[in-house]
Amino acid sequence: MKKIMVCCGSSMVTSTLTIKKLTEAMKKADIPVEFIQCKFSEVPGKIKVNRPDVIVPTGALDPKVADGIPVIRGTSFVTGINEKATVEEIIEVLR
Amino acid sequence: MNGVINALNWIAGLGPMVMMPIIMFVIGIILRQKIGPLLRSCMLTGVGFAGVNLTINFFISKVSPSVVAMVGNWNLQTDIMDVGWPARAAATWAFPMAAVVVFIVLGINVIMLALKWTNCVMVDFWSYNHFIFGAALSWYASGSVVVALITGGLLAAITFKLADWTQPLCEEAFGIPGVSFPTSNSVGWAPLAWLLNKVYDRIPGLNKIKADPESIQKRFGVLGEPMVVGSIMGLCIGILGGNSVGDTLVVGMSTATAMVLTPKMMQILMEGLVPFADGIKELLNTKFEGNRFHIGIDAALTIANPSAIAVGILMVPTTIILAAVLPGNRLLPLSDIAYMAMWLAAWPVAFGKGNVVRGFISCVIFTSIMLLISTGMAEIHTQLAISGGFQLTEGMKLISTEDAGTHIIEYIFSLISGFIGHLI
Repeated sequence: MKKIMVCCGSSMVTSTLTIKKLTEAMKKADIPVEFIQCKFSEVPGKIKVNRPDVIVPTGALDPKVADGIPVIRGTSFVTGINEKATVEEIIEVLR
Repeated sequence: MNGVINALNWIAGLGPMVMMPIIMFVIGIILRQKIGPLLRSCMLTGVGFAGVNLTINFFISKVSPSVVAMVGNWNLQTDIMDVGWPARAAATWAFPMAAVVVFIVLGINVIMLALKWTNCVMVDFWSYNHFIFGAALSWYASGSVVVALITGGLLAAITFKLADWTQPLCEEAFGIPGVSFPTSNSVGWAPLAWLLNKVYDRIPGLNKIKADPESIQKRFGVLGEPMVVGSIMGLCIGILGGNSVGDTLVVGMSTATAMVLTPKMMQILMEGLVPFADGIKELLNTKFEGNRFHIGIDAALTIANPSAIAVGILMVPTTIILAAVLPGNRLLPLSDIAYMAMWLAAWPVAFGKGNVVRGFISCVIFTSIMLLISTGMAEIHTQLAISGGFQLTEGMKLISTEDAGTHIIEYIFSLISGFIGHLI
């Protein structure tokens, strides 16, 4: 089971949108995943407890707070442009 | 005609938990969405509404008696409780004219794009709630449906123009190319942020200071975590309200609970709204393809900026002090405190190129204005919340949210609407 941390400003709106799209994409790619949903400001605290395999912020998260965990920007899930490329990048990291 | 109005009133009377699914279902059918997934997303939205209401009502019932006691004990000016932005947003979607405003805004966006008056393709269905909120304020202020709908449309047009203006900054400051933030209660502050930044450039000393955001975040990082802030503030209210040790702990945990659970409930609501929003997004995306356009998305993404987070964290204690000493303020900042400070910090740090000192000074000014607007809106806000299914406890006369106070353009328009309302 891979862990994906999806974060946005409020942990309510754009991250929910992103998780929905990633759920479908991961099902298609046959990768079992679980999601952690949080705010940008909660990332440094949460990664200590649940080391995710990849962090997908919907905005420009400072890579320094990721503590070495790969960060792949998920803004494309919000805008709807270039979603496929982002999904491939995430799959690449998970495999 | 009478039959239709009676039917609509009957549906509205059932509360947002029932009303929203019905309205969404009808719109979904019009947009030719598939019935199975549509039904599921309609019901999820209703469930999300019920969840938000449950959590906020729990929060109000557990915490407000202590707030009332605290205000009485210490003779404070802050008798209006901040119930958090999800309450404002949920009540807004439950506003009876919400669906009409959505179509008006959508229409205005398409027309402005076609006439090349804007380059902003607003795909962020969720942020339409700010235009609905503006229309709702205007309706309560003027009592006129026409004025309310025109206001909603004008707000959208102004917001799109502001998004055009600030778009070049989005890539530079927030690292997101090809997008803009037509989120009214964020970008509405951009002109003021720009102006203040120009002023700072001319102040000797201030124009030289540099400040990095990292040390602040490292030292005070827990203040960015809502659960921690919630429990600390809850405990303070419990103590100041003169509660016993046990009751103080209950108030502390109840506030922490509201901070953690409200976003979860909102996630359920969003899960329902998302597929629905996709339909609207596709419509705009396929009609207007091309590189010149920028995609309008939720300003919540601005909060990823490390300087905005740092300023936001500094603003948590500052906001409490401001609320206590600012003449005319009656809002007790509570639920929104961590989030809204970061939200307001976005444009000041963007124009100030990430400078935390400049961001902080602007944010103190913004927060003062925001507190006064929240206070000014409290009466209408309370009415809107009650019609959205929230219950006030005894002794609690008014509620508001910090978030409501961030709607600066909307507030100006509601004052104008009130004036027009008197004329007609």
